[in-house]
Amino acid sequence: MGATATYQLPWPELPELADGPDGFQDLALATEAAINNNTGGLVRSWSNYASDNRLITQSSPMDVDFGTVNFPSVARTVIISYSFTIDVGNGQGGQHDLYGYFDGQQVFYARVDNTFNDARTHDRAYFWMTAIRNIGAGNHSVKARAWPGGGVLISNKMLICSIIALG
Amino acid sequence: MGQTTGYALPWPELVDSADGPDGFSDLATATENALKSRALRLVGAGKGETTSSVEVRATPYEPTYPIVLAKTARVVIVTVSVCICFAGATSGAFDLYANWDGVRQAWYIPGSFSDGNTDDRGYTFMFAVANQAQGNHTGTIGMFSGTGAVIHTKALMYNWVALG
Repeated sequence: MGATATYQLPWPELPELADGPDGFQDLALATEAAINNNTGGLVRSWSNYASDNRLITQSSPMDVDFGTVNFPSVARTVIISYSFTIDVGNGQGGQHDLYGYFDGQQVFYARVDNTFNDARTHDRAYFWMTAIRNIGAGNHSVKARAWPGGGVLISNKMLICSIIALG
Repeated sequence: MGQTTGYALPWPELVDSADGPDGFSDLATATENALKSRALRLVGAGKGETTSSVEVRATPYEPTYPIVLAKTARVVIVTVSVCICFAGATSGAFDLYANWDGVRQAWYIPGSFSDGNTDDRGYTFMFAVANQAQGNHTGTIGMFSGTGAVIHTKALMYNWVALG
C-alpha cells in the first residue's frame, strides 16, 4: 500500500494500528486523482464551418449555428479560434464585426475597422483566438454572428470555428 | 513540516514520534514534485511550411512535415494556415484537411465561389491530439478538388506546440 500506478509514498507505511486501515493507500490514490484532475489533459478537439456565398449586410447579419460540442469531462480551459474568409463587395470600404457565442453567452467580439477595399483587392482572411474557463461536462452550443455594423457589404466564403478543450 | 511552497497537508501533523522525523514534509514534497512533473508544460514547438504555386486538381496534394518530440507530449496543439488562389475563376468545392501521423484530424469542404474578381483565399484552423510519444511524427496538409475547382497553392503552414 501507499503506491499507485504512477505515485509512490516516500517512506514505508506505518502499521495499520498506527495510521488506520489502508490510510496511506487511500492518500496515494486521492493524491493521484487530484493530480490527474488538475493537470490539463486534452478533453476535446472539435471544429465546424460554414462555407457559402451569403451576402452579409447591416440589415441582414449572418448567424451561424455551428451545432453542439460535447465535452466528456470538465474543461478548465477552452481555446476557441475563428477563421473568417470573405470578399468585400464592389470596392466598398468600412467596418464589420464578428461575435462568438458559447452556450448563448457572448465570448468573443472583434471589430475590423476598415476593409480598405480599392476595387482590386476584394478578398480578406482573418483569424482570431480567445479562451474561456471552467466549462462543465456535457453538450454546449456554439454560434457566431457576422455583422457589418459600419455598413460595408461583405460575402462569406468560409467561417471556421475550432475548439480545443483542456481539463 | 507537512507544507511546501505550493501544497499543504490537509490535517494536523502527527507528532514525530508517531510518524517519523520529517515524514509529512517528505510527503508534501513528493506530492509537489509529482504535480510539477505532470502539469502541462512546454515540450517543444515547431513548424513546417510550403511556399509554392502548385496547381491542384483531383490528385491530392499532401505536403508532409517531419515532427520530433523531445519528450512525451500529453497534448499537441496544431494550427494550420492555408493560402491559395483559384485559377481562372474556376468555381466548385474542394477538400481541405490536415493529418497527424497519417490520421485525419480536421476536414473541410470549402466552396470557392470565385467570380473572377475574388480568387484569393486564406483559411486557418486548429486541432489537438493527445498522448503522443517521444520521437518522430509527421504532420500533413492535404487538398484536392473533387468537383472541378482548380487550386493554386501559395503558402501552407503547419505549426505545432507540444505540452507534456
